[in-house]
Amino acid sequence: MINREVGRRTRRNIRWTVFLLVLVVLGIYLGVFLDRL
Amino acid sequence: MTATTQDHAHHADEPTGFKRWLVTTNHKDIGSMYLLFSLAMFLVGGAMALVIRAELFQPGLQVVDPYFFNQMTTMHALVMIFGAVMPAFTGLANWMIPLMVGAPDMALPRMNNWSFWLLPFGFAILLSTLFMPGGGPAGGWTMYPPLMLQTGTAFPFVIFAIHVLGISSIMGSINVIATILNMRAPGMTLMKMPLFVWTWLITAYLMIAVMPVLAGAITMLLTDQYFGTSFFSAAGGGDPVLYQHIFWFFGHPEVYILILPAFGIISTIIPAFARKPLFGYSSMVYATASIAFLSFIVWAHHMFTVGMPLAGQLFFMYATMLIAVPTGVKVFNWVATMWRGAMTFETPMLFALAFVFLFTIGGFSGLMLAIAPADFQYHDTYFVVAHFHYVLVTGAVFAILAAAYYWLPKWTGHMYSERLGQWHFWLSVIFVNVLFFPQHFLGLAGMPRRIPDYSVQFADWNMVSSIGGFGFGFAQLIFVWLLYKCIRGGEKAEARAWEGAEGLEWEVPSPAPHHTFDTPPVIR
Repeated sequence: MINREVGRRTRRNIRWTVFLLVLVVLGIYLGVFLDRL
Repeated sequence: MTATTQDHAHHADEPTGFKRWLVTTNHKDIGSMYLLFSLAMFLVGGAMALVIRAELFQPGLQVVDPYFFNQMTTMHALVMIFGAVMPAFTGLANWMIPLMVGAPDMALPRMNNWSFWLLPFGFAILLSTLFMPGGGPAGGWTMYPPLMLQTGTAFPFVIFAIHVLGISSIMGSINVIATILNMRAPGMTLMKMPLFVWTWLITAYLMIAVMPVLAGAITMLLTDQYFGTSFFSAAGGGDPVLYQHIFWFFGHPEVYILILPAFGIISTIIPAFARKPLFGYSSMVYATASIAFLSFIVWAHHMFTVGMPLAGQLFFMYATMLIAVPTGVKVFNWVATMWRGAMTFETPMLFALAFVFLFTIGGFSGLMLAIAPADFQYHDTYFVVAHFHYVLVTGAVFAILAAAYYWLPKWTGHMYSERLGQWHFWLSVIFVNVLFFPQHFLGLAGMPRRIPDYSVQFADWNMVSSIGGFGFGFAQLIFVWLLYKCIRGGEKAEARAWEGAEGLEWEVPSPAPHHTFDTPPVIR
């Protein structure tokens, strides 16, 4: 749930920020294994 | 910087009692929960430290058996790092970042709640391992294989608990980054942000980068133990040293995760009590970013004695020494901020000043440890223990205490007892040096760390260190009493509790209303 007190544009930016950060986290986590397999 | 604010009264339809705390999405509630949880863990980890110091009071085995001693050294570290220091900073971030950037709350309030409640869950699992058959983890907080794989029933529980704590940290970091990047008040450019916000932004990126690395390493431990893989087993074609590389690729940036927000706190408090703007704001920002970058390329200085090519030793030695440059910039800027300032010495300033002196001692012993040939002598001795406790106790913990004293009036609406605060500071600063300074001598004389018994030549300084330990531990009870009294009542705090305090958080009343900045402030 994104903060409802901010505007639509900010909510969209927050959604993108979270999406990219989650992608980075998953990439690093899986990369640690893939490097060794 | 000027601002206009608009506050609303507490919403009548919000739940009360325990349910309020369970389901709250308010950044101030969640910040308070983080801070109180951190205090509880600080006391639990402190009790474990006192078990260690009681055993080491005299040579010989007298208080606990060696296996339990090893559990205490391991759990003390895990509790203090993941339970006390990191949640304290996250609590401060929750409370202060929205107030400092003029945002109504964090970007993801429900995830914020979830991030917090994972912590008691994770620690319940971790601490419960002490009561399992075979006891808790005893191989050190670094969890090196193959030793860690000899842990009994507790092993999968420890791995699961650390995954949970890591997920909590990652979610907290995502929230901090999303809030700072997207919810700053109009006019607050990045280079107008308070230093505490800057240091937290950089810390959050560090966490995003390295917590998944730790998770990967310990997942591999789990699969080596239960699923037939051989990532770290030489017999199966793996390499136990690989674990150390992966662990310290997480572990060294972790050290900066524990200290960068402290730099932000000190950069906030010193200007307030010197009544001067911070000297060299932009150089502080660039120094913080430089330290964060360098933290990724120095990990193998923890492994000089494991064996590595000469070129590797030289690279990691010089890269480590480079960190002294941006750190020196910071110390210079703090001193320059105080230069010819109208200084007063209330408790937050005293802790901040002690930080500047004592953290620098920890920095210097770190430089000594960075010298590869010297490290062959110091490695795994009490010199290392002295070094990182100067960095983490007189560094991180003192900064957290300074922050608590500085912002308590804003959180509670009451001024704390300055008399008790001064007692707390002076007893802490005396006993912490009695506790940790002799450990330099013990280490240089060759006393190994993580050992419950020692040669009689180390007896005197161990006794002194233990006296310091108990003194420091009991001095913290003054803080608990002061905190209780401050929450219950006391002299009413003004909106701007400190004469020299600057920033948006001082524009709202004390205590800060439940909802702030529903209308964004205007930054000019």
